[in-house]
Amino acid sequence: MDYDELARRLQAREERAFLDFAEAFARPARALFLSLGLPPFEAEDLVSVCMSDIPLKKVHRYRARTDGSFRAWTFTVLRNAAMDWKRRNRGKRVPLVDDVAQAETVEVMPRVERVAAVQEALLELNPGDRQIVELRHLGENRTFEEIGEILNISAATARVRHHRALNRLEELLRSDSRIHLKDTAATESSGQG
Amino acid sequence: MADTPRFDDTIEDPISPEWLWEALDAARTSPDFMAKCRDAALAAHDISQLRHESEEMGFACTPFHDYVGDLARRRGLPLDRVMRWLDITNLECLDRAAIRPLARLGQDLGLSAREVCVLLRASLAVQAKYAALPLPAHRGPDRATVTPLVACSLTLEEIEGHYPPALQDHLRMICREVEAQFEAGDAHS
Repeated sequence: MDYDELARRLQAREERAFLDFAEAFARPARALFLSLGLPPFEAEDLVSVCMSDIPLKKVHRYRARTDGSFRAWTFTVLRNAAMDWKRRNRGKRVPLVDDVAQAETVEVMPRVERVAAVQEALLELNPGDRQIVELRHLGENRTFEEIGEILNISAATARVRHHRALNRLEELLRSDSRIHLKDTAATESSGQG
Repeated sequence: MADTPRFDDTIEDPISPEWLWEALDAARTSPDFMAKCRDAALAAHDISQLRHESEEMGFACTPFHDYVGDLARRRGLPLDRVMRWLDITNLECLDRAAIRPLARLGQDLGLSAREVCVLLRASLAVQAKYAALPLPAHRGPDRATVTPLVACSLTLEEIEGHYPPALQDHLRMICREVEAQFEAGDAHS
């Protein structure tokens, strides 16, 4: 994905860009917040607020720079949102990260990068196959019978398309170094919502 | 939440390497998470369009719901996604619990606390039948020099001078709630 192009489209207020922003960043943002120690429900709630607030209130401040892309800038904003949340909710002073490079190298990033890699690979699938993977594995835990009913296809067809989608995901991710990074995050959550 | 089913009653998932399952597990969320994020993104889009329209239109001395409704009409946008996201059921409701979401909408539209307060004061004046639309123009000697916002506020002050005590209290509550929302919003932005 061309993240700086996404930033430009957001700044132009293109409707599709707002959805693309949520598709690209919601799951990695959730992983970041969990890794930073936010409770699962609060993490998901804060992500949804960020999916509104960043494109609406902050993206106009973004300027393409040589030392960081829109992706890195967004992770910095997300990280600061998590720090703000912790400060508001625990009364502790937590240093804010205001440096793009720092946000990219902190210890929580392996887990976040793994989720980002999955999300980017999902966006390479065709929308129907992506929806099957999401329904089956990434939230709703649906059976193939249920997926078939939702998509108006047979369970057998859902199974075949699911198989094909997983093979494609495997292809896309097999050589992605982010998938095989060692997760050194001190605070690991179960990730259950 | 139940664990991700690797199998269902009748059909097996394909055999995939463990690292792929682990990666999918790491990306797993609660069932409605992505839908909520998409709703948030679409509401943000609509608010950004309304905000742009508000910047072009400028302040208008009219009730809050008319102002927002005008923005939406001029942009050709329905307000349902925005209202659902901000938990607003009725733009005309001036109950205590309704004020902060309205103020949040005004804040997201780029209005100042004073502008939102004046728009809501206009709503109250019309709803309490102390004024009819269009609101009368400010007639003071300074009318040529004051801004539309100040002129509207001065017009409302004249009307509000006739309010009974209970309505005065309601008016003060509205302005307090608007200020509180802006302070909270500023702290979080």
